[in-house]
Order: sequence, then C-alpha cells, then structure tokens
Amino acid sequence: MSVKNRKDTRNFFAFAGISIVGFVSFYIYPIVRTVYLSFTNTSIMDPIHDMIGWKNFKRAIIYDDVFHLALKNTFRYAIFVAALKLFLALIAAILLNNNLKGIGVFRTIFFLPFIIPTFAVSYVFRFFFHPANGLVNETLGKVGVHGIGWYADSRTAMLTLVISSLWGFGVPMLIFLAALQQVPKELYEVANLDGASRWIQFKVITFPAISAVFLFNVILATVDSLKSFDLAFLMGHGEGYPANSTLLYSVYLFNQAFRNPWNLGYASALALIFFGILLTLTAINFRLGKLYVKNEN
Amino acid sequence: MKKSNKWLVGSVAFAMAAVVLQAPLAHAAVPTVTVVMPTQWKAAFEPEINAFNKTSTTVNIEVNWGGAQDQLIAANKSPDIINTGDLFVAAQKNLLLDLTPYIAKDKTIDVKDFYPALLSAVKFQGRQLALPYRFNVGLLYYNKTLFDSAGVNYPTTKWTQKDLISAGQKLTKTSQWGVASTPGWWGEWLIHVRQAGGDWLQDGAVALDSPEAVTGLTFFRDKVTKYKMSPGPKDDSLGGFSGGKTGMEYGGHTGNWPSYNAVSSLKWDIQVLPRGPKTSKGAELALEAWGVSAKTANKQAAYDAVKFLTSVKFLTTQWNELRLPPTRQSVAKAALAVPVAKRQSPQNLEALFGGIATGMTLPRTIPFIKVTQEVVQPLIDKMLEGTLTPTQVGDQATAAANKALAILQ
Repeated sequence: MSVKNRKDTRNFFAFAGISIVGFVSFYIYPIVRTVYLSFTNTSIMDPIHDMIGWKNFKRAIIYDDVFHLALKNTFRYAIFVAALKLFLALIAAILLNNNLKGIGVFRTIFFLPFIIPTFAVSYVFRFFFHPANGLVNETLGKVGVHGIGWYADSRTAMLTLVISSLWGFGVPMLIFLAALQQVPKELYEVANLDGASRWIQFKVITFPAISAVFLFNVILATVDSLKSFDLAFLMGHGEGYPANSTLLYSVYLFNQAFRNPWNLGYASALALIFFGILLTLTAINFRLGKLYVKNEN
Repeated sequence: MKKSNKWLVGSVAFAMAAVVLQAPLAHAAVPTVTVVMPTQWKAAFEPEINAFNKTSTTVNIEVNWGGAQDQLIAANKSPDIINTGDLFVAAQKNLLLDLTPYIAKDKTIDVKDFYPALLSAVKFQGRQLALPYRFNVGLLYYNKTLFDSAGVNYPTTKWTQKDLISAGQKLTKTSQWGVASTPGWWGEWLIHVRQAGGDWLQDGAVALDSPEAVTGLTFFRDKVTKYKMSPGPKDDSLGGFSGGKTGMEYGGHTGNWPSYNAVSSLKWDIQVLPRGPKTSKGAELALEAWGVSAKTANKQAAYDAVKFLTSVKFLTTQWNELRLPPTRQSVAKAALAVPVAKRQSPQNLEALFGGIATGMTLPRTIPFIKVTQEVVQPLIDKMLEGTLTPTQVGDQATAAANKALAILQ
C-alpha cells in the first residue's frame, strides 16, 4: 500500500469510524442477534435456551390463529390509513399551494398534530368517541343516530382507530407541498389559456411533476401504517381490546416479547417475518411506481 | 515540641486516619444487593431499609426506586432480588434461586408463620423460589354511603348470589351502578365460573364448555344484560368503584386500596364474596413475592435481604404504611387485634385474611395469562357485546385455548 493510500485509509476511519461503530452496534448487531434469537426458545425470564430450528416460524405461519388475526387486522388498518392519509395530505397540500392569505398559519395547524404526543391524542379521541357521552355520539344523537360503540365495540373499534390515526398527515403533506412548489407556474398559465379544467391540469401537469415524491410518500405511508404501534396499543389497552379487534402486528409482537411468558425467540421470528412482508411490499410499490413515475428528463 | 508530644500527636493522627479509612472499608466488606421497588413505596420503606443497612453485618440493600425490573433482566443486568409472583415462578424457574437449602439451614426464619397457601404458591417443582410479601384475594367491595342512602343492609358472610342481585338492582339508578365491571380481565368472570362449580382448567385441559362454567359465564353476562346492574362496554362506568357512584365491586383488587383511600368522600368496606350456585370458593388468590436471582454473586446476602423484606417487622411497616396485605399470620393477627372501630378502610379485615382459605390460585404451570388474554378474553368481550352466547363462548374458548396450549407446550 502506498503512503497516500495508507493516509486515505487512516482519514477514512478517522472521519467515518464513529459512524461505522454506531451502525454496526445499533443496526447490524441487533439484526444478527434477532436472526439468532428467532431460531431459539429464548425467554427474557429464563437464562437457559435451546436452538429449536424453524419451530418459531412454523408456529407463527401455520398454527398461531391470533398471529393470523393480527396480520389481517394490520393489513386492513394499513390499507385504509395509508390511502386516506395520502389522499388528505395531497388535498391539503394542493389547497395550501394556492396563494392563500396566512398560509403559514395553515401549514402550522396541519403540521401541529404530528408533534403532539400519541398518549394525548388517544386520550382526546377516547373522549370524542366515548360511546355513552362522547362528543361524536352526542352530535350523531341530534340527527337520530344512536348507540355506536366506537372503540368499545369490536365491530367499530378498527374504524375508530383508523379515524384517530388520520390526523397525523402533516409530514406527507409538507413533502407534497414542497414538491408542488417546484412545479413551474407557466405550465398552469398555458393550460388555463388552453381552457384545461382543474382535473386535467392535475392529471397532465401536477401529478406527473410530483410522481416521484408521490411514490416516496406511498412507500413511507405504507411502512409507517404497517408498523403502527403506539395509538393501537393505547386505544386497545395494550391487548387489542375489544375482542382482539385492534390487535396490530407490532402490538402482538411486543406482547410476545415483553409480557408473560416473555418469549423473545418467538417475537424475533415474528419480527423477521414482518421484515420480509415490509420488504416485499416496498418492492411491489417500487414496481408499481414504474407505471406512474415520470422521469424529469 | 517535646518528643513525647510529637508521639502523642502522631498517635492521635494515626488513630483518626485509621478510623476514617476503616469505616468505609468495613462497610465495603458487607456485600450490596440490589432490588427494584416502585417510587410510591419510597417514603414508607426507605427509613426502614436504611436502618437495617446500618446494623446489618451480612448485607446492604440498595433500592432502585422506580426502576424497570423486566428491562434490567432483559439487559442482563438483573437486580439481585427479584419481584415475582405465583403466576410468574413457572416462567422464571431458571432465573430464580432455589431458596429451600437456605431456609433449611436458617435457624432464625419462621417459615411456618407464612400462610401455607401463599408459601406454596411460589413453590415450583419442589423448590421454594421466593417468599411471599403481599397478596390479593377476590372480595366484595361496597360503598357504605350508597348502601345507606338506598336503605340496603350491608353485605354479610351469609350473602348469596340472590342477595347480590337484589342489592345491585336496588342500588342501580340514573347515574349510579349497582355493581362495577372490569372489561378485558378474567378476575371477575372466572370467580363466577368457579362458584358455579366449573373451572378454567380441569384434568389438565381447558373446560370452559362445562355446563357449570357456562352457568358462571351466563351470570357474568346477565349482570349487564338481564339484571342491568353493571355497566356494559358501551356504558359510562362512572369512574368505577373509586368514582363513588357504584355500589359494589365484585372481586376487585387489594392493590386498588390506596386509590380508594385517596378519595376522602368514599366510605367503603369489604366482605367475603357472596356464595355462588355451587360453592363460596373461587375467589382469585394471587400474590407477589421476593426471590433471588440465580445469577447473583452474593447468594447468601441476597437471601438475607429477602428474609428481611419478608420479616415480621418489615411486613408490619408494609401493612401500616401502605396497606399491602401481609403474608405472615403473626402480622395478620396483630392487624386483627386492632378494634374494628379504630381500623381505617377497609375495616372488615376478617374477610381479607379469611379469604385466603376460600381463595383459589390461578393455573401456573401453563401460560395462563397469555392464553386467557389472547384467546379466551376476546370471546368474553363478544359475549358482552351480544354477538356470542355463553354456550358459544364456552365451546369456542375451550377449543381455541386447548389448541393454543397444545402449541405452546
């Protein structure tokens, strides 16, 4: 190795060393450890464990009915939350992209929910949706609709969770807004001169221009909603109450690892299965993105 | 300075240095063991533990107030003393040190003073894995003010389910419930199942489909739907028993006593549970205990600490300051010796300590909590919603729970 190469190597480790150590410690090691644990019957409360091969994966995929239900619930939740969040974020961004007076205030208002702690959000929504004396049922009662159980009824608890999750669309909205502001105004002026409707303008100018950002937001929203935990945990008493109707994958996984009998091995297997699902869905999103993302050139 | 004075000054300085240096060294020779305790116990326990540390020649107890025991264990930094319980010892059988040989060679510990049912609940596969310090037993809690204003006599030891229904209905009116309900928990419906002659587990298999169990489940539902004396999932529970607008609580938990006593307007007491259709037995008996980590470097010292934390003196402080029901008969006897009129709520301590005899522990050799909460409880929730009948719940819960147990074992 030449002196220059040696110096380069030294400089490389001097600058990137801490990052590499951090990356290995906090990303690589946990992943490797999770893979190892998934093939064991490790419990947090039992220092002795055995290698059990693929048993954890087999148990989850073939036998565990509660796991299957949690998976189904998660997909149901993610589809609605991701789609509705993106829709609301896009609509809000388009509205804010107009030269509204006091646009900064509106931006702040829409983004505000993102910085409010989830436990406060869950408390507020439980107050709104209280079946006996919540604001929503009191309002519905005035128009003759009575007795919706919301979060206390297994038939409507998931709907309540989805609605409660929607208010945090501030981040995708800001990303959309940033993209919309990059679209040249001249294009809309020409379209107006040609008499193009708002919808045609959106279809032909706006969407192609922001399509790459749209794909980015789709992937972000999908992954985010699939791994959603805190609101479901708080609103479902940590157990998917009522009747496992709000039991999401991440809540189930948490309960396997950190509640009696603290089965870390099984939870690790669930985490790897979940990783596989997320990877597959992201790949599908990328593939679908090719159908609508327009290259800038 | 004279030569003799120099010697005197030198000797005094040497002696002082020796004292100063020796004190921490002597203290350091006593092994320190760690334990995690809730912050709300600090004011009551800290003076007692500090006083013990000053006099103890075998162990120094260091408390991690408000720490997270499970997280410490997961991080391989287990405290030396572990808070465990009857439902946890099976899962923690390799984590906890067998205290049997330590107890056997200890001439000063009086293990017979512990209630035998409580002591054996933390004995697993012939090994005494912990010593109990507090317990919970299912009881009937009642609000004296609401009983008085409704003109209903207080519950007695002779009460049956019929008396409960009668009183519950009399106490129920607008913005007031007769009997509280705790959704999402087994503590209430399992007592009904047991008092009807059924049980969660019979002959090693889940038996919630037995006619007796179904009778118990039916009564649990009927309190809401037929007798309309308990709030259903969609109703406003009015803050539960501590809200002051609920006449009774069935089962309840001794861990809630501090929150009940914190409500100054709540005048309450306890009674043994009303007799069910078949038996008066069936109240849930659960306990917490102190065990020793098998990984501790100071096994004997940790045992000594557990012995202190479950001693008559410490359990007396625990009872007097925190109202955590003590597990030693001598402490219970002292509590019962206080005249009823001079006792703070609850006054009927005879019901509390008498309840140990009729209480029943939960299955602990199987993952009871996991299977109940994940598989059985969701079906019970549906029964309260009205989408499943008690018979359907019994059948489906039995099938699903037995399947889950087969997979888990």
